[in-house]
Amino acid sequence: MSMDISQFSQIFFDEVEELLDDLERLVLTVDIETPDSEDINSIFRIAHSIKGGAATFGFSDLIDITHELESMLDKIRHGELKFTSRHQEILLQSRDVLKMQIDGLRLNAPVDKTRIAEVRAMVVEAMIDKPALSSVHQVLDEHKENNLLVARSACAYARRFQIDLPAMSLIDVEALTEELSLLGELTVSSSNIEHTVLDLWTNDGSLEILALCSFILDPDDVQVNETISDSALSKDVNSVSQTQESEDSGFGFFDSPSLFVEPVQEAIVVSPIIVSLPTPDQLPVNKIPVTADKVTAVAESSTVRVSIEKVDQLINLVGELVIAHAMITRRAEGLDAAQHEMLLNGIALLGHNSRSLQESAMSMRMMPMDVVFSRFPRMVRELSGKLGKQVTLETKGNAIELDKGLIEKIVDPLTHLIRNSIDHGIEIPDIREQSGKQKMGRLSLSASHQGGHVVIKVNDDGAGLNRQRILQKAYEQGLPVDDDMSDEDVWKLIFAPGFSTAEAVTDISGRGVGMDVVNRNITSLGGTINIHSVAGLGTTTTVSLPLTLAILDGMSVKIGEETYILPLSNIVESFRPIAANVKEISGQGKVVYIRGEYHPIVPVFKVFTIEPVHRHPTTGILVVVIAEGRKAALLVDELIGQQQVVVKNIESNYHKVPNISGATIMADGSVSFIIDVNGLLREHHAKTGSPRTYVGSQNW
Amino acid sequence: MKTILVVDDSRSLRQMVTFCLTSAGYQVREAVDGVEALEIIQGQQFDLVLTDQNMPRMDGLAFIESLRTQPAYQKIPILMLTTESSDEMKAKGRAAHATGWLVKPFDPEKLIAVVKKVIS
Repeated sequence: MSMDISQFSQIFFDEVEELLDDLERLVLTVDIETPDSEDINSIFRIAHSIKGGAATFGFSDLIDITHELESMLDKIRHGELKFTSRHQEILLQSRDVLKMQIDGLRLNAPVDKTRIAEVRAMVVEAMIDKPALSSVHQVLDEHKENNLLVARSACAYARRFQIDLPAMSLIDVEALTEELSLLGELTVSSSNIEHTVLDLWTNDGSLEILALCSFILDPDDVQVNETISDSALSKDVNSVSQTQESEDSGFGFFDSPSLFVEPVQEAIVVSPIIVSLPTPDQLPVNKIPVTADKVTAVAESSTVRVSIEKVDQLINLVGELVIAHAMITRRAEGLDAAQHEMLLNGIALLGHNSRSLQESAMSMRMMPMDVVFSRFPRMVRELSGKLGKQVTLETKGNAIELDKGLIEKIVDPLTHLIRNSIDHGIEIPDIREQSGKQKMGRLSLSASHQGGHVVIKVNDDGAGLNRQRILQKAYEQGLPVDDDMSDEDVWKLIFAPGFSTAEAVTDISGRGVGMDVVNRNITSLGGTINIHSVAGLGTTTTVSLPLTLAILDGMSVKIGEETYILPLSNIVESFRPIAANVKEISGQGKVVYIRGEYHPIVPVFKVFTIEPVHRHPTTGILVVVIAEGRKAALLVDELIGQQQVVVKNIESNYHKVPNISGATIMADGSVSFIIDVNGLLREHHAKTGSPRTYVGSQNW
Repeated sequence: MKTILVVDDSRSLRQMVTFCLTSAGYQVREAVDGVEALEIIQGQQFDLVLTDQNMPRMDGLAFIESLRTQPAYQKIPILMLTTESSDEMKAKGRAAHATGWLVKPFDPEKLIAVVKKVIS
């Protein structure tokens, strides 16, 4: 029988990636001064598991480096090697190399072989280097290693002793351990100036040990105790050689396996104590036989891996169900409540259940913020190291969930904000000290729920934004500025394209492709971004995002016979202007004057070539929208109302339609388009050349 | 049908072992470590226990020792799947009253052959 185990490769790769993430997290959180032994053990187990899996599934490339890592970590966990920042660095580099190898195996990504060899050499080298050990330890360690080798080749010993030695010189300890190691396998359990404890496996007795010791010191000062608890083990050691082992076969039995076959049959009983809820009279005497067939041996697991397509399909179907319910409700509105009570109750119940179903389905796409946050500790460490700064990172609200699609798109903007905070915000330690702050800068990342939104805050206790410099730069770049602008408005200037106040362009930030891209990304996700900064105290950037991309808070508006949806996040205000405030500018169309500013009027009926009821702003309604720093007033016939809509993608079903970002099915079963406000304003701007407005966005 | 409990912290290895054993006609239940395995055996009797050594929370040896104190598991065969085949490890396995060992990595065929030897 031959079996194909290649089908498990994918699971193995997934598993290794998870293990590598764990590795990174553990390595970054471990306390270098006093590492928690459980942390070191966990890191060891990760290397061990990857090696074991790699060997089983035939990825020999991964074995090499994991084997060395395992050896290094084994020494650390047994106290033979002190854990240092060097090991921390090496573990992180090894993680990267292993990730590269995994990507190479699963995605055919390029693999840098010299890099692998380099890192492997680093691991090997870090094992030899024992700077933190005392010379006594070094000498004893060498003995231990020698003895271990002896022990492995010479099989095992019958008895085990613990030998407590008093204070003695290093030379004496060395001489004594050399002598004692002649008796068997000797290891040093603990060693310091006052006291040395040795552990000896031997076939001799305590008399022989004492006799050897008496050459060097007074036998009364030596304590030799046989380790009783392990004597059973030692007996077994002797008989290891008698076990039924087929040499090189990779398996063996301690007793004849046939001995087990018979008792097994008898043993298929569940001890009465274990059986749940036995009847009282059965308890003391009856054994309840349970046959294997009765027992369901279902492999249980707490999670099921499902492809995202399946989840999206489910969400789509549930969306259709919700719409179908809305249609039935609409049709049933005219029915007499008393006469059709049962039917109407049923419809109400169906509505309740389908909304719960929708919520459950949507929750399957939700992922914890931790997925994003966990990327940053390492980045912060490396960046602050590069810049000579000291920064601690705190994260809060790691369990807050966000749609998978949003999670993926929020990584880049957040990375940028964090870079900015470290590069421009947090000062170097000397300057911090001069301004009376702690040398260690603090950066915090938090996520929380606020209404239907997730709010992510990036906060640093750095120098804060420099109002003067921003105004200066903005002025140089021809942006509309004046000295009386409020702080909030000044901070918004940094969202302008190409804006950067960094004096030196570093490889970290300051190329000026920054904040406008961040702003654009966040806005395209239906979110908003705000800055709050106090000079000398720090900066907080607040990003607010909708929980999901699949549901949109919209305003439905009517133009002629058509209903369109405007994303609520784009809308500033709606009003009907008086004739005096509407002006015609040649070549640019109409503009409307609102509180000191002129905004272009976009006649939506012209964009979509439909016949409207109202052609003039003074009879219709103007909806002021904002996108990418541009404001405009959209002319529509009437506002219908605010509602949540389920977004349907047009591109994946048809092709991209200009100025339309998606579609939705309304409660009456008709289809409405969702207006792409960004695109609409961009197009209008290209046609008319009307300027952007950065100021006065009170409702932004 | 014989039932086997497979204890290993590696998901891929667990699934592979389960796959091999189920295709050989055994019923398999999985546990991620010794602690979970001890919970599972409270409600179910197995004909064989296969356990990894290196696991978080409770390692293979501690699990075997604990399992052997249960009246129903004093004579049930227990095999250790281990990457270490040193005499030291074998001695420890014997002391914990394991039935035998199987060195990782192993062939699926070998796994099944060894299992058949123990529970024919």
